Amino acid sequence: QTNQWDWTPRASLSTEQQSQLNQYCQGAYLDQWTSTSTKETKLEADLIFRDNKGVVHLEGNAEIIQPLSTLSANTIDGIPDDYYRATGDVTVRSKDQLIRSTDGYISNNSNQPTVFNNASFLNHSSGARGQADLLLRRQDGVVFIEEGFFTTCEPNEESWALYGSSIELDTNEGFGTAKHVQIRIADVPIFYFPWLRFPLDNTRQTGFLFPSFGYSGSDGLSLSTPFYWNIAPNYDATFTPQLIQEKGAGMDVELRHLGSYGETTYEQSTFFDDDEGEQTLLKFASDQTFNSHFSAGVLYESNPTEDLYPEANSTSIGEKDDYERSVYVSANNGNLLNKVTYLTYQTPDDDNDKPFEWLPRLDSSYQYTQSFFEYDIDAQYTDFYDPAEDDFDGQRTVLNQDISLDFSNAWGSISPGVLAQYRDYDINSYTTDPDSTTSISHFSTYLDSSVTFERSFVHNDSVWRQTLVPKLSYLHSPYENQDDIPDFDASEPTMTYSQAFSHTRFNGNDRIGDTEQVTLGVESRLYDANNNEKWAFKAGQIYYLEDRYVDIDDDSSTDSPVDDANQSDLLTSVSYSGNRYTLTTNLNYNLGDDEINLAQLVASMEPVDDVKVNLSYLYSINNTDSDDDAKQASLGSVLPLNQNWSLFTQYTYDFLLEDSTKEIVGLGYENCCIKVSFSYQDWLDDDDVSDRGIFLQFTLRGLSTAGTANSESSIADTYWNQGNVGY
Amino acid sequence: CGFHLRGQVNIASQYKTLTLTSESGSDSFERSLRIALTKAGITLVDKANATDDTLNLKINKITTSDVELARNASNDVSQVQRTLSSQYFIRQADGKAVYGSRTISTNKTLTNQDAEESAKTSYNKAQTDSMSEELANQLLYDLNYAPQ
Amino acid sequence: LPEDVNMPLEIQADEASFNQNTGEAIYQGNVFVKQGTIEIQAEYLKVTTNPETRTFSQLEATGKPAKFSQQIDWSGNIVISQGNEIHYSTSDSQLEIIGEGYLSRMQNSITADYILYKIQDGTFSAEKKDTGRVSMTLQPQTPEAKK
Repeated sequence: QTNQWDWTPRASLSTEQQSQLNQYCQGAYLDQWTSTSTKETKLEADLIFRDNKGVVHLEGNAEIIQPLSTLSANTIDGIPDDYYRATGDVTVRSKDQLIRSTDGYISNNSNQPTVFNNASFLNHSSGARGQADLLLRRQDGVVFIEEGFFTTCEPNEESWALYGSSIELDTNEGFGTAKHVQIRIADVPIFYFPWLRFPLDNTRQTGFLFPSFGYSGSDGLSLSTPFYWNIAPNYDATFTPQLIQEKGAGMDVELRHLGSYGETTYEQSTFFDDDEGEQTLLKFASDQTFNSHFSAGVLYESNPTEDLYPEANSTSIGEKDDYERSVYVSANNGNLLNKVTYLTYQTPDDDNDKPFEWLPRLDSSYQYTQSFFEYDIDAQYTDFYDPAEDDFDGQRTVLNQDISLDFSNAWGSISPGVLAQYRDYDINSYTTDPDSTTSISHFSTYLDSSVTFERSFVHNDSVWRQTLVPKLSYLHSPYENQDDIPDFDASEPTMTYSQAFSHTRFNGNDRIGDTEQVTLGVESRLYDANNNEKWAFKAGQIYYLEDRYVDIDDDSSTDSPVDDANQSDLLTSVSYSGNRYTLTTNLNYNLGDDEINLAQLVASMEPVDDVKVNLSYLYSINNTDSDDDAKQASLGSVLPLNQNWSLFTQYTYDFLLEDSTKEIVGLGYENCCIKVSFSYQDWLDDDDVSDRGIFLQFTLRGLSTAGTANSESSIADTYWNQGNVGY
Repeated sequence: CGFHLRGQVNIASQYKTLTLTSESGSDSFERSLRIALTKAGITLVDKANATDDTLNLKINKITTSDVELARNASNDVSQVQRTLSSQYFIRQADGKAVYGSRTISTNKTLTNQDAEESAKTSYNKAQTDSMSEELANQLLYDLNYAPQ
Repeated sequence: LPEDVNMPLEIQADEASFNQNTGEAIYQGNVFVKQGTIEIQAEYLKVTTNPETRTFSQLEATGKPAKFSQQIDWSGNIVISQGNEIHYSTSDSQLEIIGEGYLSRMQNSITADYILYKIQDGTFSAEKKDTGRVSMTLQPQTPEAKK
């Protein structure tokens, strides 16, 4: 039965054809159509006769070979270039298309459509085929299927089919419409639609995208049916009605405009909850690059229904503490970058403290390099505002200048430098403390040096290269009392190997960490034959010559150091990048107390095709701010069970909470024409409430993606891979 | 054990003069790249006065991806590992690639992700800018080893 | 054309023989006949004339191949045919071609084992005998003739 579809199993395809086949397809449709070079029409049969009404009759495997199509049947009669009536085992072949039927009427003039009875049709390249009681093809190419079905599945497995009383396929517009449609998955009717419009190819076509379907114990059935509207080539909209059985209904809207300078999007999600009423979130974002000098952008996020968030939300704006409203304009000229940013927030929940706003912030930075001399200057003025008006805000001017000399040759470099940091504050106090002004001017001196050794060695018979780079740095940042300096954005970085060579002990611009230290480090990298970095091993340690007195929160004084250790942990880092394995690890080992203070590991492995394991682990104790202590791990895996079925799982565990924060188990099925992902997910959401749900996603290849996804990213996304082949 | 001081490595002569087509999307990357190119003795000419056989350095958009490392007590993400990566290749005037595409990437642990919003915004911007500068230096380091 | 029959008849052949009472003339050896727009070439030609009207009513030609052509309308369309054996009867205005037959009329052509062509009403019928196929080639319609 399958060869009536020009179907050729994988084994008998040429290797070149096999290479174009995706891993889940068992064969391909080979177009038997061969176009004739001449423009003539050829009629062949066992008997041809022409009656006195001018009708030509062909009997005995009759064939009509026209430049663009070939018609064959037991008998054909008609008037050439007007119509042909074919009966008995009718086949019509044209480029990339095949129609078989019991009888058909093929009209060449404009007012009569071509009609085939109980026909089956196939489009070779897209693999779309189907059967119909009546198949009708108008002169303009629109195909009508009456009482038939349409699928992109291979003949030997019917994973899905779209049955309809009348289906219209308009290949020039690229979409189809169907009435009284029933979608059957593995021959089980799943969806019924009175009317459905669907894209036929991947051009952006207006129409219903496929519905998504979810179920959870507490919320009951949830359904969303996105409708995509391609308004203009650079302007489209997606409307997604949402329904949750136990909660209510809502609508998400996403408008996108692609202008010549950049993209502008507007998203809104509104849900009418049975108890809480309207819950709305919206976001307007636009980034325009006018030319190589000027660009500008605006972001407006809002939660108009204060602290009420939509139950179902497919947009990119979700529930969070602060919603940003910002505008920026940047003007660059060569190495001078300037930017002005105006930033405010809406904080719906009053218990959350409101972040500082920039009314505005001006950033200017310039870099100048001349042979061995380098000069960087970063100037920043920020007019901070505290919306709560219960503590302090004010204007801050920052001027960071970094002047360094860089003496280097092929194997070594020595770079002495001075870091001049100037800060000026104009503090406006809302409490009893008086307004005040303060400023600080601070100079740090540093010396960075390194020597590079190299060797090449043979590794599985190709020549690799290994570097060995000892590094020595000295940093002196004298102590200056900063008690009267406020803290707008200072924070303490986690001490790791890369932080050990930084010239600043704190992030942000409000604290200048005092220290006098020597940092020793050694790095070794292995490069493969075509110079891709494979392994990197790093180890280093800081030797403090002075105690440290400056801290972020409490006041500092020269007789109570905040950190008097005379050396840091042993800071190590190992990383590997290959195509099947990637690994980055950081480990800090305290020699004195013989304990590990920090261990970070992120690894992704694909030991064998289609088997994927993602692992991330963090262990961090003895942080100055105990809130930063963490001990968490996450393990995700995708394992193929057989040619089509895969199992994916994820388990995220918090050792300090002694509880899991995310558990996912899911089954995936994929073949040539369908990809289904069915998962049970249990996770802790943002306000510490555990949520669980069943998620079903399926894509009917050739039609469009569909299905509920969980906004929390997880291994399910790795398997789902936006519905593309494989994962 | 075979180690010796690194020998002089200089850029293949055909890459000494280049035109630049960069869609990196990062101002700080573009600036560091221009500085690193001049330091390496490469002259950038604009397309107007480039000859037919001046090669073109094409850089794709820098993509950012985060892996969640940790969540704090109130289950907000507090630490992520951020990876910045991009591809570059050297092509002829007719678009045919002569070298590459080569992948360049760098990653860094970003703490502070649960800090006060504006502090986190300026921290992330500062860290991402410094990673972009590192990416530019990586590009030059990689180009150094391009075959003559 | 209809009035061909009363045009002068010119026949060349290597040999010729004439049977008075049956009114049959037989010509053999690179026979060439021309009467008005009718042209015949053959190896063997038998012409039967109607005794009363003294006009020829039927001819049979054989050859490798035998050829017969005639102009069928004033606009210059001609019918060309060839085959192992050709029978042409003016009374019922019918052309029969037997064996590797070929007939072309207004650039449309047919090949078949047996072709029967009624010149007056323009109908024809072509059949294969044992293994062959009937094949008919139509020139593309001149554009304005299309829809």
